[in-house]
Amino acid sequence: MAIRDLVRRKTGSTAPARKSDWFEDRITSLQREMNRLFDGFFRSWELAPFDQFERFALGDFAPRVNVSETEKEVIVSAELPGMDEKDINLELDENTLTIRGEKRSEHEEKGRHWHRVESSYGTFQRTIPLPAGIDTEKAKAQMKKGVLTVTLPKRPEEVAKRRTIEIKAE
Amino acid sequence: MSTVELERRAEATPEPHAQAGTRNTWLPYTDIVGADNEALIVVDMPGVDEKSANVVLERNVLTISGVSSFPAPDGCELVREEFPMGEFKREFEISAEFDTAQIKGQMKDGVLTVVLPKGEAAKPRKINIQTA
Repeated sequence: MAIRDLVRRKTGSTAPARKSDWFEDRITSLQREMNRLFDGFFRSWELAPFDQFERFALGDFAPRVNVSETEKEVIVSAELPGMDEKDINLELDENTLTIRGEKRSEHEEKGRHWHRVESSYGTFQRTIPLPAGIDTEKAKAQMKKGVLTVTLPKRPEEVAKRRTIEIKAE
Repeated sequence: MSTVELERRAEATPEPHAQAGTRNTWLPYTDIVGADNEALIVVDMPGVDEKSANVVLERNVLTISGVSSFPAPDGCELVREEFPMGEFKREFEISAEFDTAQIKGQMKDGVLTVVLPKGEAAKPRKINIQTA
């Protein structure tokens, strides 16, 4: 169980404000821990076929992503608040998009001390599986308000392959 | 050392996805950094427009709230959604050592930084030793 889940970051009194808060916190962290154990168990046996978006533990953290799709393109958005585009590296091949980089804190000056750290810092990496037929040459990426958006157009022949099948009534 | 801390209601480590218990708002990840003359509350809110974020100080309680939305482009189907959506809110009790009249907020690259300068009385100062 993560230490931060157990430690109440409150200076002065260590007593919870209300008893129900205390109870709720414990239940929440227990539930989170159970989820993690289940995930780990199934993953280690490769029994989790539903989540092909596994967060690879190759960096210190993995950013959250949203993925949307149209007939013509796939759009991947990643939460990277406070990051400069120069510190982000994108790699694309036929089947995957890999976002990696390093997030450093702006506040690591002398004489500063951290009271609470919830944001993730350090190296990050996330590999997103892509559907077949992405035109890797035409991919574009943009950074706005801490969100990285990668637009991946599908190849025209791939778009043409899609057709609607008419259902005939007897 | 008493600083900004003391959050009310938002006690647990935020887990924006698991909307804990009956709470229907999510908690943005927050760092609190202290220095001699000021403290910073640094709140991650990627994708949130500064117009849809509010910082309100009422007596000694600073409330940071807003709404995050992820409008998928026209005709797009969202196939995976991990970004926390909807209303978010976090409250901080500000101790008396800070000059609440001078609080400033700035939004950059999806990060809101609230600067809390310390009042003159709370700043460390050197005391001259007089020779008799």
